[in-house]
Amino acid sequence: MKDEREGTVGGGSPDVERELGRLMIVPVPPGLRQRVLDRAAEARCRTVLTPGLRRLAIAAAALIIAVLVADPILSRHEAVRMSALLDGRTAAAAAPEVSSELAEALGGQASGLDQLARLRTLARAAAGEASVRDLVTAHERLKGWLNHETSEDLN
Amino acid sequence: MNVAELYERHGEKLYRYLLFKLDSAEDAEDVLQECFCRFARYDLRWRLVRDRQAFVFGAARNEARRFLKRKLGRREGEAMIARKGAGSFSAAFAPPDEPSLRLLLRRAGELPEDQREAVFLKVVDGLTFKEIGSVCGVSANTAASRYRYGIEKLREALGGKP
Repeated sequence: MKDEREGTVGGGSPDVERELGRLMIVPVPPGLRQRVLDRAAEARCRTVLTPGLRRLAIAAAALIIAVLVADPILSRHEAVRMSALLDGRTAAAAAPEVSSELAEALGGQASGLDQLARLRTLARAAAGEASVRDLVTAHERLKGWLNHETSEDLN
Repeated sequence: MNVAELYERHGEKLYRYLLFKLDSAEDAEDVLQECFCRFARYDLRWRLVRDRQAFVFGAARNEARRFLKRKLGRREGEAMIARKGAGSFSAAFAPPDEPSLRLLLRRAGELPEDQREAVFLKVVDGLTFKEIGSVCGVSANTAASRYRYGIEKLREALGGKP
């Protein structure tokens, strides 16, 4: 026997098939169609996602996926930009100052003692700058309280 | 997908198939209703379905298995499915008057479940071997072999040449 639509050889027997075809099929119970369709309609009404909600859910899901995909790309760009900005500033601003001061201290025609003195001054200035600034700020805050005191030269 | 149209095309065939699978008119109707409830909710899925006939029969087969597990309890239902006890020709056909047809019906009921199902789906519901394979989860060639063995056994039982 040949399955016409698929071309698969089934090897059946026409006589047996004919006999099987003579068997009477049990009739469908009356009203089955209506009962089935009513129940299906009821199930459709109770569906959680109506077509509108389904479209909304799909749009929301697409948006979430887009954000999830875009976020790492954007943050990577941002990180690259920030690091470029920060690295550029520290390297560009700090390096020439220090190098020029050191060059001035060491590279001049002064004697060894002179150079040592200059280096000490630079180191002292760098260390003391912050504490002096703090003292000045504290003094300014206390001005109202310390009116009776004479001014002093903190430098 | 219009459910009424789907019923017109496949409803009665599915009912007979479920009657064959479950051997009870009440159970077949319950499961058929469950199937159509499922189909009514399958709005998007219908667009992905290529062969609707195979799809609805496959869904009905799965629903029948679920029903058996629910009704008989998980363990007993699975055991019944495993020993392939379900599937009755006599439930789907009216008792014939002719002795030869009565014998044929009895012999058909004694076939192994795989072959019985292939013969039923082919002869009664007119599915192709590819569709039968899709419904039963086997290849088209396996479905054709099952059908061929089933028919040969029936022919032998009826006294014809093997």
